[in-house]
Formats: sequence, C-alpha cells, structure tokens
Amino acid sequence: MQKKQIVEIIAGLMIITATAGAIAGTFLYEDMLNNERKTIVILALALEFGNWSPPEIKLVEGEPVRLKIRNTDTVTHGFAVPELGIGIDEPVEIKAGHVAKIDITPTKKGTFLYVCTVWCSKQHPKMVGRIIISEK
Amino acid sequence: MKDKILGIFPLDWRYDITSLPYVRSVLKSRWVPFLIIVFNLFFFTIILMAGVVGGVSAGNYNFAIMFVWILWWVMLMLVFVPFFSRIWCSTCPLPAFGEWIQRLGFLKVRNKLFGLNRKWPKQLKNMWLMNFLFLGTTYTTGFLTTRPIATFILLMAIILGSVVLSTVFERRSFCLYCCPVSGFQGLYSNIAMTEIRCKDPEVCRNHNVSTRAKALGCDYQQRDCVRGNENGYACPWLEVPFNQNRRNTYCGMCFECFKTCPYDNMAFNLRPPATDLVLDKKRGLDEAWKAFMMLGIAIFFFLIMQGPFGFLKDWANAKTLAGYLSYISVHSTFNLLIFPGIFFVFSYASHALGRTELPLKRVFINFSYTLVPLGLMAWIAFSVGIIFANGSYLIHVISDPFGWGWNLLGTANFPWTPFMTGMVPYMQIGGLLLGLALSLDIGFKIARQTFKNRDEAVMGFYPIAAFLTVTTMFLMWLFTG
Amino acid sequence: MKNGKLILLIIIFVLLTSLSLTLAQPEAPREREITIEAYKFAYNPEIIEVNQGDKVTIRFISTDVHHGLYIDGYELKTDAIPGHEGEITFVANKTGKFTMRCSVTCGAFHPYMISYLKVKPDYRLFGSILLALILFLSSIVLMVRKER
Ligand code: SF4
Ligand code: SF4
Ligand code: SF4
Ligand SMILES: [Cu+2]
Ligand SMILES: [Cu+2]
Repeated sequence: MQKKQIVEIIAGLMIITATAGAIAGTFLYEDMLNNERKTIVILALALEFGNWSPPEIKLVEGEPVRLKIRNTDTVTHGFAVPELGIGIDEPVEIKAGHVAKIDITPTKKGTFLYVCTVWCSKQHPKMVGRIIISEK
Repeated sequence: MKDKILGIFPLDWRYDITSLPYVRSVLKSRWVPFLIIVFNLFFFTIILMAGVVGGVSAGNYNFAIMFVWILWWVMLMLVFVPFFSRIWCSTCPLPAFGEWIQRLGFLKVRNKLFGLNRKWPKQLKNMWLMNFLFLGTTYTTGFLTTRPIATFILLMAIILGSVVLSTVFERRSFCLYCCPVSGFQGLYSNIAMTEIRCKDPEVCRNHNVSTRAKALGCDYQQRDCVRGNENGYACPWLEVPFNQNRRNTYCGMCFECFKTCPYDNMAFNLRPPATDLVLDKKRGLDEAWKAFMMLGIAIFFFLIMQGPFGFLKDWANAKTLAGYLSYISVHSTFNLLIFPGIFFVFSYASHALGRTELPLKRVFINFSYTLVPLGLMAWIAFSVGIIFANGSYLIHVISDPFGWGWNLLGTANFPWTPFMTGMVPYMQIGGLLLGLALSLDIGFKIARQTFKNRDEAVMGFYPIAAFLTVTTMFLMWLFTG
Repeated sequence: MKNGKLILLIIIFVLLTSLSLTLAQPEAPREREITIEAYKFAYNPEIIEVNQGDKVTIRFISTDVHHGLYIDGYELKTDAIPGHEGEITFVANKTGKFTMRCSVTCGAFHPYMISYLKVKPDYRLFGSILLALILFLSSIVLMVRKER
C-alpha cells in the first residue's frame, strides 16, 4: 500500500514538472537572460497593428542597456537610430517572429527618433518612436 | 479464405509484435503509456504557452502553429494513422486530465470511476456530432493555422470539454463522440497496418467467467477485459476487446486490455493495410459522411492553402463578412450535399446495373468505404505539399519557441528553406495512385460482398470503379497539373 | 458479355485519343516577358503558362508590402517592394506545374500566397492519368477474369 502511494506521488510530481514546471522554467530562463544586462523590450509592429511599443524609451547617459526588439508582426521590420549611428553602417533587419538585440551605452543626451528601415506597410514612413536620454 | 489485399498480402496475415521480447511486459506496465503522455503534456504546455505569448500575429513563425499544424497534423496523416492506427490517442495529453479525475489517480487502478458516469445518449452514439464539430472547426482553418491564439483556444476547448464531459459521462465518451480529430483518425485507421485484437479467440471463449467468479467468491458478469480488474481498467473506449469482428475505428489503443487479460491473450498485430474496410460490420451513414467530408475538405484545404486564388484566401481569412459566409456556405454545401450527391448517382447506377435485392441505402453505404484509402492519400498528398515547403520553420521555432530571442539549439536564424519541392508532385501522384489501387481493390471486395453473384458484382463494380478513377484523376490534376 | 467487351473497347479508344490531345505539340520556343503583380495574399495573374523551351523573363512587382517569389522545382527566387521590381530570367526546360510561393513573410496568410507556373506540354499529368486508367482497366479485367 505504502509503495503504491509513493508511486502515485512520483507520477503527480512528474505531471506538475511537465506543466507548471515547464512554464516556471521558461520564465526563469528568460529572466536569467535579461539579468545579464539591463534590458528594454521593444515590440515592432506595423502602424496598423499598433506601431512601436513603447513609443518612448527613456535611457540614462552612461548606463549600458540592451535593446531587445521583438518583431511579433507578420512582416519584416528594421531598426535604426540615425542620430546615434545605430543601424546605419550595419542595417538591423528583423524578420517576422525574430528578435534583434542591440547593446548600447548612450553617450549623448537629448531626444532622438528611432525608425523602421524596412518597407513594412503603406504607412511605413510613419513608423517612428522616440528615445529620450537624460543626464545621470 | 485466400483473399489478398492488392493481390499481395493475404487478408488474414498477422504478426504479433508482442511476441518480440520485452514488448508485452512494456505494454503491461502501468507506466505505459503514462510516461509518453507526460512527455506530450510537456510539449503541449509549451505549445499552449506559445499560443498566448509567442507573438501576436506572426502565424508561420510561431511554435504553436508550427508544431500543431505542420508537425503534429502531418505526422498524424503521414505516419501515425496509416501505420499505427490511433496510436496518437494512446499518448494524447488532451483528455488526460479528464481521465485522471475519473480515476482519482494516475497509475493506480480503482475501477469505480469518479463522476456521474452517465451513459452517452443513444441518438448521439455515432459520428454525426463529430462530423459537424469537425466541419465547424474547418470553418476557422484560416485562423487556426495563422493566429496562434486560435490554436490555443481550440486546444483549451478540447481539454476543458474533455474534463467536463468526463465528469458527467462514462469513460472516454468525449473521445468517442466529440473530439474533432477523433472522427478522421477512427475512419482512416481502418487502413492502418496495425491492430489490437485478441490472440486466440478460443482462449476467450473458454475464459469462463463464472468459474473464476466462483473461485474469487463474487458474481462477475463479464470477462476481465470488459469489466476491468485489479491490474487495469475496463476498456475506456467502451470496446469489447476480445471481439474479433471489430474495426480499429473506436479502439483508442490505450493498452488497458493488455493489462487486464489474465491469460495474456491480447495481441498488437501487424497486418495488411485496409483489412478493416472489408469487414461487413456496423457500417453506417455517419462514417460514410465522414469519408465524403474528409475528401471534400482535403480539396478545399488544398485550394485555400496551396491554390492560386486570392479570393478564396480572402474568404477563409474573413476579409469581409460576406466572403466568410460564402466560404462557410459553399464549403458546407459541397461537403455535406454535393459531393455525397455525386457519389449517390454512381451508387444508384451500381445498384441498377447490379440488380441486387439489397436496398439502395446499403449499396451506397457499403461503397462509401471505398473512399477511405483515396481520402487518406489525398490528405497525404496535401500534407506532403505543406511539410516540404514549410517544414524549415520548425527548425527556427524550436530554438526560439516564444519569439523572445532565445537560441536554444543555435538554429534561431535558420532561414525559410523549401526542401525538395521539385519532387513533391511525384510523391503526390505516387500516393494517389496507391490510394486508387487500394480503393479499387477494396471496391472489388465490397462488390462481391454486396451482390449475390459475380456477374452482378462485376456490373455493380463498374460505376464505382469509374467514380474512383475519375476522382483520382481530378485530384492528380488539382495537385500537380 | 460480348456487348460489355465492345463497350469497354470503345471507352478505351475514346479515352486514349482524348488523352493524347493533352500532349498537343506546343508552338516553337520563343522569348516571353511576363509581369506578375503581388498583393496580400495572391498574385496577378494567378497562373502563368509557357511552353517548353521558352526563354521566360518574369518582371515581379509588389503593390503593397515586401513580397517574394520562389519557383518550386526551378529553385529560383526574387523579391520586390513597391517601387523596386524583381526579375527572374530562365529557360523553361522542365515541364509540368510548378508552385510559385512568396518567400518573404508578408502577413498572416503569407505561407498560402501561391501561384502556378505551368510549362506545357505536361507529360507528368499525361503519364499519371494514363497510369490511373491502366489501374482502372486492370482492376476490371482482373475482376472479369476471376469470374470465369
Ligand atoms: S480522441 Fe481526440 S482527445 Fe481523445 S485521445 Fe484521441 S486525439 Fe486526444
Ligand atoms: S480477458 Fe483475455 S482471455 Fe478473457 S475475454 Fe478478454 S482477452 Fe479474452
Ligand atoms: S482497452 Fe479497449 S481501447 Fe484500449 S486497447 Fe484494448 S480494446 Fe483498445
Ligand atoms: Cu516597419
Ligand atoms: Cu507575400
């Protein structure tokens, strides 16, 4: 009798690991990846689906961050901050379902536009957001 | 009888896989198929999660869409059903919660099931409900295969539906009569090259219930495999495991009968393909319609997903309400009325030419089973066209299942790479011709069953053979011409 | 049964003659320029037909977003965004139907964005229909013979 109950408990634990454990595990892994460096997640979406989100990113001068741009859209987008020289020499092209990671340490303060560099819809030229870099 | 399938495989040829070492003891263990269910549960947890968090609309770049509709669906059609019958149902995690609730446990055996254990209503003890539920599901195919959240909703509906129905109705009533993917697995597993049957009917006949009952001092009415015992549950699929004249259709391959049989008399047989179709037992209009609908739906799916017509895609994608409604009505009318109607004309001709005394309805039903091999091959041809062109997405999503920028296996940047697309039409033609050969062969055998003498059988076979051949030609033209 | 045989022979004759019509000699090979317009989620024209040996140039235009064109079997690829055309030139030496599909993710129905290239004459279709007919006839012959 005792043995049977232990077996039941083992089986139950296996099920919990496969479900709740898997979910917790994925979030922990994601957290671990994000802890390497301060991470800001930006969603890239064509204008019809909501544009860049968030449309405004606040950074602090001299503080290293990682921009993680998730393209959850169905078309390719690009990413560039022309005034900061990001995505100019090496164009950043993010295919649908893909993610681009850009590590930067802002050195200039001010407000800069970040833009999409791939023709993604008729309203593509309006796909812009703002980066605000403040003093330390 | 020396009847042969395709003139090669004798109808009654069998090879018992459990005669190999270890196989039987594995199947008798209560950890099987539990462990595989847990493994699949893990996969489906990831799928469900990806359906919610893995991107809003990146259809083809989503783990849920890719693994459910590209991998799982194609595997069902290409491997599981044709070779291993309903083996998927034995390892399916979706109704597992319902079953564990009924059993109030995972591995232990407790033959008094929790829940109301109602009998399923008699009028619904057939495939009709599943036919309509499946048809309903195909209305949303445009969303299911392109919007991750739609896949999430469908899978959750199956899980919740099975939990609710398991607490109300007895055993696997949900799987038998409701699950949208159950019907076609049941129908096409008639073709499967494996089956679960008893080894020796003589042993079952001599399995004397009353002596054993007397020995144990209780009043058993039924044999262990039907009633369940301390080693396993009564057949959850409401089958009579020892019945030799059953078809694969309603056996979920749960292996409980291997565990319950005190004489080790169950066998997991290899067998020639399509033998169940020759069995003249419990054929019905519900399964006939399933056969029509599946073939019709394969044609529609091909046109929507692999055809060149933009307006059809806009219909299925619900660009306009009117378009979507036209899709639903054209799709339903064709599958429920027009296609069966065309087949009716041919079976009418067969009935008239064969001059049988059997009612026309019987002829119609019997011959509708000839569409099963062809239908499965049409689905295989459709699936081949999808997997070779779009299978490479799988390599991407497995490394980054949620679109969070992970790179688990280092393949997150694997680009879309169509694979062997030049060969696909040849595979499709080969499959369809094989389907035609099997269908003709089955038609021929059914004709001899249905008509009194051979002269009549020949006459009655003509129209059906013509129908099958013309349908095959149409499919070959559609897919490759 | 004699009647039956006669009817069968006539059917075979009619089927074979009509079938061979599908192989009618195409015109002599020539150069063709074909414009294909892409929009979400189809192409215009939906099907293009050329003859074996033709030198085909496809001008590929997109009317809305970034689209691609990949030809199965020929394994050729191009893409276009509004204002930038793509182009493919090839000699159509393989016959049959080839699926052309979008190769740049362009929206929900992107994987279903498809058109056909048909290179005539279609020997493959001819052959497969012939095989189906042979299966049909042999099943009947087998059945009739078994009857004796
Ligand atoms: S019938 Fe449906 S829910 Fe039940 S086991 Fe089979 S696939 Fe799973
Ligand atoms: S318990 Fe075993 S021997 Fe008895 S009827 Fe069932 S399969 Fe046959
Ligand atoms: S117990 Fe029933 S459903 Fe399970 S394998 Fe045996 S016959 Fe099939
Ligand atoms: Cu963009
Ligand atoms: Cu496109």
